[in-house]
Amino acid sequence: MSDAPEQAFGLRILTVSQLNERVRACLEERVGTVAVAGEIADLARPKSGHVYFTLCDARAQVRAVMWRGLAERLPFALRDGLKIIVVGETTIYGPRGSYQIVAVEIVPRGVGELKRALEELRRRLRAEGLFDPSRKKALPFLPLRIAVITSATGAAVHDIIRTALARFPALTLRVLPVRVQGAGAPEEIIGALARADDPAVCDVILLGRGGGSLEDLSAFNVEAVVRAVAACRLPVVSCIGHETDTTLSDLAADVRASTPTQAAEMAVPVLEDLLERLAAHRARAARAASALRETCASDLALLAARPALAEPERRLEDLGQYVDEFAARLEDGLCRVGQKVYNSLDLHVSRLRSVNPLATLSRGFTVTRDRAGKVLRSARAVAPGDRVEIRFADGFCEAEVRASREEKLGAGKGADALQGRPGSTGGRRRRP
Amino acid sequence: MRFKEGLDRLEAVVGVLERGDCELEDALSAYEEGVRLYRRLLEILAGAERRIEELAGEKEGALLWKRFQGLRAREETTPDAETP
Repeated sequence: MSDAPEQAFGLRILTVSQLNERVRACLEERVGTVAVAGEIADLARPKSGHVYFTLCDARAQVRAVMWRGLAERLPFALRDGLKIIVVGETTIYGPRGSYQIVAVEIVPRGVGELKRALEELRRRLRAEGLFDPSRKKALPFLPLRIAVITSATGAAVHDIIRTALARFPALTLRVLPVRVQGAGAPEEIIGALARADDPAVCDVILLGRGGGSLEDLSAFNVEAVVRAVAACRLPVVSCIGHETDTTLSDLAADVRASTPTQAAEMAVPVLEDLLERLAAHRARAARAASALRETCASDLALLAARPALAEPERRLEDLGQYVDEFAARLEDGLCRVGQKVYNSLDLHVSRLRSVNPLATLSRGFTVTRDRAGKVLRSARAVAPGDRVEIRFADGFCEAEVRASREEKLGAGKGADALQGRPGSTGGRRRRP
Repeated sequence: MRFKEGLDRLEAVVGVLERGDCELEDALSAYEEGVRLYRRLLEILAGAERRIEELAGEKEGALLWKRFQGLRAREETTPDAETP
């Protein structure tokens, strides 16, 4: 063979080994370390402990091997059909002349495997207390500035803006655009959370995206993202994916909405409702205030119109009746303000005069006291010959009791007299 | 004053008025407080402004915002067309 030609067709003739060496050099230099996604087929684990398999997708396949030392440390079992990502060196297996991947790392990629890994992380973070209800912050009642962390191009941002403005047209919405899936998404979400989580920037943070596969939502299951959500000082409303999707970031958020639209509904009150509530409060306050005034005024007007004031000798008896009537009405709970009027009459006569609706004395009402200054409330408290002092609006007079007569005061009579009269305040005082 | 605090206070004041179990002077001052709260809360609502912004960058630690560009036409309305 020594006389074999060195060249053929102008090309240097190689041995097969030389060819494979060239291809190996080319593969290792030009292709080098790769991460490849595919499905396992033809898995073989001979006695050597090395693991051999074919990595395939729909149209192509490549051989792969993982040496025993690494294969033994894999945290999950390889099996045919499992979707994985292989990280390794491309090289050539000379004896067969086929190229292969020498795997240094294999991670599961299939939904089942992802779910298992996710479940493990969920358990760990839950055990740490990251999802505890006690950590949840209440949403502000009226957040006028809202940070929206989502993709600037997706439907979510539009759903949120449209819904929020329809409810409350005068909001400050601050969009922090991020990639919500793919490489770099977790880092961008974490960065946006850090920027938005500032009371100078917003009152509440909405974090979300539209629906997608478990893999599409995976950025929201990245441990660092989940921790960033939990660490926010401002309340976070999450709306990641559809109703059925729950990511770990959803669990770490203070409130979880099922969709971006619902997140806006939960965060933003309806302006018209607030205005209505305010108007209702105002109307209730006005009604209550005018009822109070009327109650006081009509109690006193009623009193002033009583015959006792026209027939001085009956004054004391009627005063007593008045007191009893008042007591009965108090028991009925009809005249809580009346009690105040009564107490004021009893104890604060001078103060009464300074309160306009309670200027009782100028209405003709008087207060009668015994010589010790004690207000007389009963006909039984005086006897003929007793000296009493009557206080009018503009002064006093001293009087002597000529007769006193006790009158049976039916509670019904008193109540009828008060309630049956037109302009009585009994009905007005009842409230729902 | 936060809106919710004011609203809670207003609710309490109205409750006091409606129960009617206070001195008349107190009731009158409660009424006045209620009206003050009502005006203040309206001011908060009316003072809110519509802005839709997008993070444009950071300068010396401060966030820079620009007008959000991604809105479809139907979300675009004049800023104070719907403010109360």
